[in-house]
Amino acid sequence: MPPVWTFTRLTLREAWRSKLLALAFGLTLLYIGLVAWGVSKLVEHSRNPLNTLASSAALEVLAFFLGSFMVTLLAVFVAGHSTRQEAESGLLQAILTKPIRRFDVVAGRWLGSAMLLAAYVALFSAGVVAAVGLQVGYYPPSATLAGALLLLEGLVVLSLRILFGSFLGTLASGIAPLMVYGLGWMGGMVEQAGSVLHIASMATGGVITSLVVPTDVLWRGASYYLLPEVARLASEAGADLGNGNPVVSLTPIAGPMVLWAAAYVVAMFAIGTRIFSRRDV
Amino acid sequence: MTPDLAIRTTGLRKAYGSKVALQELTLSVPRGEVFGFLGPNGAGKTTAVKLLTGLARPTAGSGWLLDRPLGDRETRRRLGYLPELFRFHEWLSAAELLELHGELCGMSRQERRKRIPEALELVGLADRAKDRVGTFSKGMQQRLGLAQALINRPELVILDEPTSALDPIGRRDVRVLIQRLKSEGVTVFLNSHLLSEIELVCDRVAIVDRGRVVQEGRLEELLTLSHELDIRTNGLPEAVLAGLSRHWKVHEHDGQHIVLGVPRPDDAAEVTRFLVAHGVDLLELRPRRANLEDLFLQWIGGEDAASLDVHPSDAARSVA
Repeated sequence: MPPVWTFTRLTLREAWRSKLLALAFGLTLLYIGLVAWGVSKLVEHSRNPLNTLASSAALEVLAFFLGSFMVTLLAVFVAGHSTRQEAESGLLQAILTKPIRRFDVVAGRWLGSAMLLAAYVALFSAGVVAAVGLQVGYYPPSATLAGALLLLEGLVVLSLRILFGSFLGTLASGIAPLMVYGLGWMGGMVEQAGSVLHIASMATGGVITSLVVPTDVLWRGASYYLLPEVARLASEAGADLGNGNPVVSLTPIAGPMVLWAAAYVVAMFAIGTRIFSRRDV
Repeated sequence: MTPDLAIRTTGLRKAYGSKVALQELTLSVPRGEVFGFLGPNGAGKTTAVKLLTGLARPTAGSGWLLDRPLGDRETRRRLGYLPELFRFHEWLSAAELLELHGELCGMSRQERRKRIPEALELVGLADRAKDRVGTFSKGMQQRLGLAQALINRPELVILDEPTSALDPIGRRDVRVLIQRLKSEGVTVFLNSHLLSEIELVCDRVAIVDRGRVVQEGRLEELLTLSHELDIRTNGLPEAVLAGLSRHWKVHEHDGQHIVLGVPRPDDAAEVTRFLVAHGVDLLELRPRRANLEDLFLQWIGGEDAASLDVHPSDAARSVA
């Protein structure tokens, strides 16, 4: 068995044994239950079916919006201790003297964490979509694409965590990606404000932030696939519905931006692995 | 490289910024021997071990492990290592931990199935295979660490302070284990500051101090490098004492009893003649063989080390 897979399994087993999986699963079900309950109340107090549909769709987008934040938090914590901390505490000393590459350790951890994130996004997305769809019949245009972009957002954070974890302790390497994520979020808002107020430099600043931290832009990309078709059509027809909305986007994410985010994930991971590989343990 | 050497290093140096952890390590460890690496705390022992195992990279110098350059990945298939700072995944059971380490060594499932119970048996943990590592005492974790180091039947085992957490029974068990490894032809590199441990099991020792080897050689040869004569008389006049101290080194004296440091055991005859010629009644003259502790203190003891008639680097070269 390739050593990468050994470390992937180790990460998955640790999540299982530490009750992280059970806890995340239980709390996600609770979250989905809460969304379902909210929608049922909307239906119960409905005066106009169209209104109910719109409010339910809005609730769904918000549920995903908070979900994207939870994916970020999970991405930071699911990777466990930083590699630097593990190396210094002695946990990796007997392991790194085995006939493996240090890359195997980091890649296995990344892969295991990515699988957990994927499972979380799948469960979460399916649950929320079902909670709304089964009650009011609203299904977003593409929950799959939205989920994929959410997962990519999680992977960006995970790779940042791996990068910071190669030279920082557990706490600092957990806080750093969260603060970087905050930067990305703020950058997105600056960009929206710039486009509403027609201040080109603000919009450019936001775009640059999205390139440096492509998390918010990915969430916006995901939100596009969750919004009702009618909102998108209205936007395309020139209605000024959602421009400057700090949470959602009425235009799809650009293809090159998705590629950039994917390359970003690879690059952050590669830099982190390189730092760890050259480090004296 | 000479094929019968398990470890060879030349001028290995490690500096962390301006702090030099290891000055210059030149060392040869023959295959099949138990090699003791001895030195006070902070002498650079663990740094040396980290360079040997590839956990850290040398600032200068080079080295070979089992005929391959340091840091070579394939060599590690034949290497076993117990770190000084050992910590294992606490949520795994003892057997699962060995399963993990065996897997990382590239052992097949059948090999692991056979070897894991053996390794646990070797370190006296056979009945704890299913218990979580987190429930183990520090000593038991160190035993498990030994099992981990031996899981792949290595040709070379590097043990960094392997008995630091063990009680006297555990220490004896480790001694027996090391002797057993030696009888199987395994080379053991034992890093320790416990002189008795080294003296009991090692064929060859190197003594490191302040980042360099101050003495290296076969243990029995090193032990004959220093001799003392334990002399009892009916009284030693000051003039005789002064005369003795002109020729030899007076280590201790109290009126009738004196301990002399002499370069050769044969000097006993000359000392006897000297005492008799000066009218001293000799009641007893006994050559005293130095133990490792005496040697260690001599070599490490700062100014005392400089007064030794054995030039450290020459000695290291001649026995290498």
